[in-house]
Amino acid sequence: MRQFEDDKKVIIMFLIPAFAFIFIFLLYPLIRTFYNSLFYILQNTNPRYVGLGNYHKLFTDSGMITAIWNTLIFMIAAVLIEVGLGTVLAILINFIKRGAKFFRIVYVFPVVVSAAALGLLFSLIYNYRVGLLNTIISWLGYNPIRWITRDSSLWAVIAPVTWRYVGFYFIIILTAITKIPKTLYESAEIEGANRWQKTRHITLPLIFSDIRISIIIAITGVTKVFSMVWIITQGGPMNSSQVLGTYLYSVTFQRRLFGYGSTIAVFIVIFGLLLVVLTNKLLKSDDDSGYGTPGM
Amino acid sequence: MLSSFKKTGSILIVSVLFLTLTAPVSYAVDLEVFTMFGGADPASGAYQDAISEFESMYDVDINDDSSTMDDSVKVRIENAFQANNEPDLTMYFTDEQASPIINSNNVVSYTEEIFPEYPELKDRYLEDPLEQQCWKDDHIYGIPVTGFYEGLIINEDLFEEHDIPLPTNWENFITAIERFNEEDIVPIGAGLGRVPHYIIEHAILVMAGAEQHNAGLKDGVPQGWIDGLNLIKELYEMNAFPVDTLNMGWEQPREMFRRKEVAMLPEGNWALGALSENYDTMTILPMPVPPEGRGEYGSIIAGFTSGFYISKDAYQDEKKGEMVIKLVKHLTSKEVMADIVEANAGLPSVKGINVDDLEGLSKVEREGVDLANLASNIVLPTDAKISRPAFQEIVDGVAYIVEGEKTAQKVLESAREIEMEARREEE
Repeated sequence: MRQFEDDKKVIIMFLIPAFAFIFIFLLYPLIRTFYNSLFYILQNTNPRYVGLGNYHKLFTDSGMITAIWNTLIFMIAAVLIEVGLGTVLAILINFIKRGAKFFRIVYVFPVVVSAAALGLLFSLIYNYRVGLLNTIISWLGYNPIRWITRDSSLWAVIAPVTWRYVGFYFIIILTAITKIPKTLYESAEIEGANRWQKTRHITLPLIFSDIRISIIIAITGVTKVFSMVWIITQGGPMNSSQVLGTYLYSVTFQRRLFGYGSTIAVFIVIFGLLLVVLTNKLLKSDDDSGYGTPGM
Repeated sequence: MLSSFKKTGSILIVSVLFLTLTAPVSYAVDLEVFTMFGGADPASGAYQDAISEFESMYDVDINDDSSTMDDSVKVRIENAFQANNEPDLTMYFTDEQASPIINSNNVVSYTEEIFPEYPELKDRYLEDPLEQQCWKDDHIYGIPVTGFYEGLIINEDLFEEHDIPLPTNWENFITAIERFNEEDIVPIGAGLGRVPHYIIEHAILVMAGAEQHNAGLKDGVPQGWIDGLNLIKELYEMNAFPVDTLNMGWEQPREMFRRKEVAMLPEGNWALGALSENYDTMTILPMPVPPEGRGEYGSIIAGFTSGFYISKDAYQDEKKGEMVIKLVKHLTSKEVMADIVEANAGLPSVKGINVDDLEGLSKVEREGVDLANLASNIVLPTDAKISRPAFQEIVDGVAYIVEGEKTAQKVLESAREIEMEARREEE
């Protein structure tokens, strides 16, 4: 018993630094953000208590509603393009015997380039006068196009942001695929299974839990999207490419409304958590139905 | 054995070198300084020279955190004052944007504390620039360096080449827009969607006139402000701005102007430095006034809206107090000020600087200084009159107005609501 008590003390002693770190840099800012969200704070001075006023404003603010809607579209695109394409590429790369290493590097490369550099690159690609796209169009004898308009801006930012992360999910899925025992494929081959059947009945069920994790990471990742959207469109024109991250920045840093900015931050946290729980629940029901259980 | 000695010796030498190189050099005083003369600011060179000179004169180490201004830098400075973690000397805005700095109660009042003790500091200033620094409580918290002016920067050679009269009146201005459109040259370089472009305050000034412009939004939405924003829509519909104006920041219109793809650029003196390769072919004029405008030709947006704030903690510190005053005196000395004026083509705030004697100024920079000196009326920018969130509402609203999605009245009424909420805070 004494031994156990001593161990407990040691365990607590080792846990204290990590807990202090998490408390100072994560929990306290979260609590403080929630506290600030109950005040009207302009330029971080003279806070005035407004109760749930900022939360009421949140759901009547057209900029916020646009940002929520755009973030949801972004999430669907992230799941389909980042995880979907990443999975397809990983499966395809797993089939090829030569050049797999080359493709791995090519697909992963954008992940290691900074978001700011890619944002700048794409803003140059979309540039009306000197942009790559319009230069090509001019060579082909057509008139230049405005690539960033109210109708197209969201897609103009979704494309580079999702493209950047395809490689990230590609590596996660590829690692999962390489862990599948070769014997399963060999047995399937003996049974006469073709590539599609092997993928459908062996690969996909065995990597489903990794796909699920990837989907959750992709969805929560979208709530943090900021740099590339800010550099390429700054959430415009007319809020058309506004997402939660850029709207939070705009309210807090451009308008200096720290209280309302805190409310948006609290909303982003709750929104992200809700989506994770919901996604987990939706995908778990599939999992439980036997799709993801390898049965080995 | 020998190799072990060598190894130990090498480690010792490296350690000694490392300690020598990384050991902090001790100075009598360390000062934290922030100014707007950082990065690509035209005056950054002159400022750095002044700092180096000061460091060579005194036993002081200046930790200079100067940077060009953007929203994140402004918030950083505002928060530093709120957290009582402010630099010892800060160059920041002295207009409406100074609220968080002054309300933090962490800056010294020149009027109350510094000028009575150092009257020579007050005496070196011209009367007008110093008066403009007066805060709402009639105290001066920040003393100016150079003033600014805004105008219509003109690619004069494009006008000559296409035989178009300079936009010295509204008729010529409209002719220029039409003719440059025919020539496939963008008439006015401005971004209307991403940045608070100076075209906003120019349009409000010419349509509202100085009095209404200065009134702000506290007593209602002035008709002149509505007319000003509608004027931007009118110009937008005339294709006066670049096709992608709604997705343009500051740099693109300037770059187009440099490349002679833009004829007119509503900007301030700080932009002249970035256009230096066009100096010989540029001029600067006031924005022309439409016939229905309440403004007066020659009225310009100009003034002294930034200055040096001294932290209370630094001023009361035994060592820093005296040194920070010496630094302010040095940076606002006639010699340093003249160098800064030569670099940023700004308006001097201290006595004894004759701009005509400054050889480093180009033709267009001299014209700019004349523009300010001969102005029939000088008004401060729009964002010096209203609160930050209200101004941002107008900036964000411009894109909606020009696209016909919202009326100017609706945008301004919304801005006024925000303004009243912000002012409630002050009360």
